[in-house]
Amino acid sequence: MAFSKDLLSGLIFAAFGLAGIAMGWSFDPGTAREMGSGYFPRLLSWGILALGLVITARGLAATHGDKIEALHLRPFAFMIAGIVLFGLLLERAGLVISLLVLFGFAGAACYDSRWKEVVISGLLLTVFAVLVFIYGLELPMPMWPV
Amino acid sequence: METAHNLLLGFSVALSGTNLLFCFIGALLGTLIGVLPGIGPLATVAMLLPVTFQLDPTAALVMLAGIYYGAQYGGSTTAILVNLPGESSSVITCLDGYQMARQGRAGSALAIAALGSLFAGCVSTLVIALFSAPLTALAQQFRPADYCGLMTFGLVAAVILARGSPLKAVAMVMLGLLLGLVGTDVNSGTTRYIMKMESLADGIGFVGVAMGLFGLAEIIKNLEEREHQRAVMAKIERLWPTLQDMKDSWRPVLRGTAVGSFLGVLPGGGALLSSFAAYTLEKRVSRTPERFGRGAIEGVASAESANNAGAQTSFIPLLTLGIPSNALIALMAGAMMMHGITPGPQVMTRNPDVYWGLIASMWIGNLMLVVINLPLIGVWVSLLKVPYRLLYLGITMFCCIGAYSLNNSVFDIQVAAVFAVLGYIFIKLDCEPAPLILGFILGPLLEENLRRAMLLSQGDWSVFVTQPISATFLLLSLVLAALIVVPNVRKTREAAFVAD
Repeated sequence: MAFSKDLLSGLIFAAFGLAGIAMGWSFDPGTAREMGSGYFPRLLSWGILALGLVITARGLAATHGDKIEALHLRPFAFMIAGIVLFGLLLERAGLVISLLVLFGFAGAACYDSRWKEVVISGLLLTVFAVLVFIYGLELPMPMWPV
Repeated sequence: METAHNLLLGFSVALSGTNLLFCFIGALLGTLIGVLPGIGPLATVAMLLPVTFQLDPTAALVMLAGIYYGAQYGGSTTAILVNLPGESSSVITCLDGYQMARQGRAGSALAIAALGSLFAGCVSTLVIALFSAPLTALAQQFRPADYCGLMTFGLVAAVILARGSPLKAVAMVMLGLLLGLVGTDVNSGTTRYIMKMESLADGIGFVGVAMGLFGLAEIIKNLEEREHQRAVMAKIERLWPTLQDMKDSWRPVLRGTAVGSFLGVLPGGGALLSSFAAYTLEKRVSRTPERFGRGAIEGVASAESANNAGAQTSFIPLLTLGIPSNALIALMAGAMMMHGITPGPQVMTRNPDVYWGLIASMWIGNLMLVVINLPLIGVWVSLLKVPYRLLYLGITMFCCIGAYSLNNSVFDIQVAAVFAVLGYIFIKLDCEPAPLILGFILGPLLEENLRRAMLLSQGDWSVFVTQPISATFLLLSLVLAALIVVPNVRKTREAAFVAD
């Protein structure tokens, strides 16, 4: 059977609620009068779990649930991969190389990308970023590999 | 008298050469990014926050005010020219603005939007100046339970204003509150939900959250569409509105300003609620309501002036009570805290130059918008012609470096990546992320006040209904929540969001 939006979002909320309860198990709840570090998180987590279950139930009950639109894996996967790699590389390979990697992945994420354009605008943006963020704002990130 | 004196102080701060410059740059950058299709005011402000990190607090706030108005106005420009509302607050502008543009009257619509906004900005600056002192005095009476009531009201309003199912919006609010608690608990000193990551001890960096949810997730969604599916831009034939346009507009501008100034003050209010209410009012009082939605300049004039008035007066709860009333203001609150200014009643007494400087720069920011936008409309138009396949590369870069520059830590880039994934899933599942970010900012505040309230009442929950201020807010929240169940209101709300 197909997952409707309600069903899936309900399950996701319920999972967040469960995670909140499980990970917050060891927090001291205290009492209502003197709330410990666990009181409010626990209250919220149970609330999220309950809401998640209600939304899930509604999704199950609906006969013609609003189906989730087709996922486009390409923009999603390439964009996320590019961002994560940029974060991993920045302090080791420096701004220039990590930006070029980012543009390579981001460029591949778009259906309409033309390689020449990506290369040219990527290079221009990199120069711009070096001038503005390293020389201008003096952010403490390396330009080249360290 | 005192107000005049204070405003003078404000203007002397705001009009200093450097602050004026920063206000100008802020408004320019805000419009520049805000004009880009698919980027709403929230994403714009989130993206431009890092630019202000290096400045001293006053200059940074002045620049942020410029960015804030620029972002709103840029969004309206895109709404009018290409029918792409960056955020729900410009949806209403789309209704008539784009129709006017299609009839070749884009110039009139843009000019009226700018002039109406300027007028609304002037009035609402005065409103803030006049009312913030008495409201601050009132705020001194607020006890912890009252703050809880107020925040509850704001969160309920955020739920009502979100599109899609209210149940999901409630869940988003609570998830936001929970995410806001990640990090060190100030009371006990223990860390919560940090999953053994030291970088999370100070909490999840909110710039990373905002970039991921509003910047990067939006890009991924936009990349799903092929280029030819995107909207086509209308031509601009003449820039200046005709005399008839002016005649038609001045009353709607006045009414819009009044509605906006009032609704902006309410917690949960702000640009969206204001423009929606003003538009509805205008349609009611019009002798020719059938013209609305087909290019009625009254619709643009009222929505835009209300939008701007509301955007401005929604600073009041933040400045007087320290409570951000909507997601955008929550971002501004986060930015202020990063500059070492905790928003709240103490700002006015402790940093009067910052406080009144900010208010004066709001007015100047509005003026800047007109100065920048009327001559530069041609530039924005050509910017809108740049294909998205080139634009998003730059936007992605700004988001990534912006996330890094918050704490100069690569960890925040990964935070942005995680929230981009979450944001994308939320978009796919019709869960609007704006309530989440409001909850995220309010999480620690709500917990702290809940704790104090319960400590003071010795664990007695009835304190929330026995204290008059708190009881009033909770009652209002109930009324709001009940509204959504009333079939009529529900239908209107659904109809209002169908336009998206």
